[in-house]
Amino acid sequence: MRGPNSPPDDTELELVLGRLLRGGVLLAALVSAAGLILSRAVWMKAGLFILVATPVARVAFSVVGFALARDRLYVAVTLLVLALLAVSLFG
Amino acid sequence: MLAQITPAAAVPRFVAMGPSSLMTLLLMAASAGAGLLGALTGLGGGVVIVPLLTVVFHVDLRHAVGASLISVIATSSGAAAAYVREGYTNIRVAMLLEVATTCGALAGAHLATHVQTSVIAVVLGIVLAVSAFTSLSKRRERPVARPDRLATRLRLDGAFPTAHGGRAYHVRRVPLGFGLMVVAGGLSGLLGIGSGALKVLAMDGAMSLPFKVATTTSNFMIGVTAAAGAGVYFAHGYVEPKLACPVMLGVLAGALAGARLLGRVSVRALRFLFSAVILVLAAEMIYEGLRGRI
Repeated sequence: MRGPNSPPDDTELELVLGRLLRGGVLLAALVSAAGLILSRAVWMKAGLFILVATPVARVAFSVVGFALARDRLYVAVTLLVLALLAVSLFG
Repeated sequence: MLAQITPAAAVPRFVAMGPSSLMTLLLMAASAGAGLLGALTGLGGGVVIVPLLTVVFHVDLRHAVGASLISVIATSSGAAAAYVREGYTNIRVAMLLEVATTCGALAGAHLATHVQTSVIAVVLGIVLAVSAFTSLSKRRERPVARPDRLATRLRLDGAFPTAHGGRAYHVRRVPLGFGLMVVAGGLSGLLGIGSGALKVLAMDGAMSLPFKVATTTSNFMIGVTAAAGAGVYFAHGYVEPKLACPVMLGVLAGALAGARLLGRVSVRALRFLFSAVILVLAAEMIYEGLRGRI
């Protein structure tokens, strides 16, 4: 059970996830900006794809984080979110 | 994902014209303004992107929603990183409620591909008007003294940093919060907005999370919710790169500039101004929608 202060594993996980999000957005912005300037539709699409994939990757990494913390309930919850995103993207 | 793109039923005006370089620059500039005001007022740029694109730039509504969802992902993910570092985000609450918002977003986005665009326009106008009014009202903290059984079993209680160390809080009314999140996700998928106001209302009003925790956790969830909606728009060909890229880049640049200016400019007057802009756009959406011109 969680005490009043979050255990360190949660905070570390959140920090890694935060960096992942920012990195993904930055990469997506650079690739799509290059595509826009150079008029390359493929790059623009790739940039947008990276952007949409960023929160999905965040959810995927959360599964690993909760698994490392041996938090079975939230591994299941996060896998469910991941499945719903998969339905959206590939369904 | 991209391989499944099917051509949209109707060729939108914007795509048919083909955006010139000037049009692209105008789109970026207008989107940057929306992103800047959205970040400064805390309303998010997403709320005005769809009316801006449809009313001012005459973009087809579903393509506007697709571009808006893309820009919502960008600003939410960019800002979430900063908030997470401060330790306010409750990641368990976020993950549990994302089940609700992604379900809602999937339903909303599929609904958007079937419903008449004029209906979507009217619904958007109403939601915009409501969010403009609620943004002006003040919120009060209502801390809960006793732990809630379901929230305890789901380990949702948490703590957030203050000047005097961590302050613990209890979460309650999880089913109500979950239900409201399905609606928030549905509106996000249908209208291309982040639904931040409704998400905060669900967490701070219904579930009694501290306001700061509610806003940062909401922001954390918005990206995943918008991605669930955006996938459906991608698959139906409603994410046009020539439209979505300049809009996303503009909103992102505006939001980043807004985050830097925050604390240095008076937000109160800006919030009134932005709310007025939203009300005008909301009225325009409802009027054009009722006349069947959107």
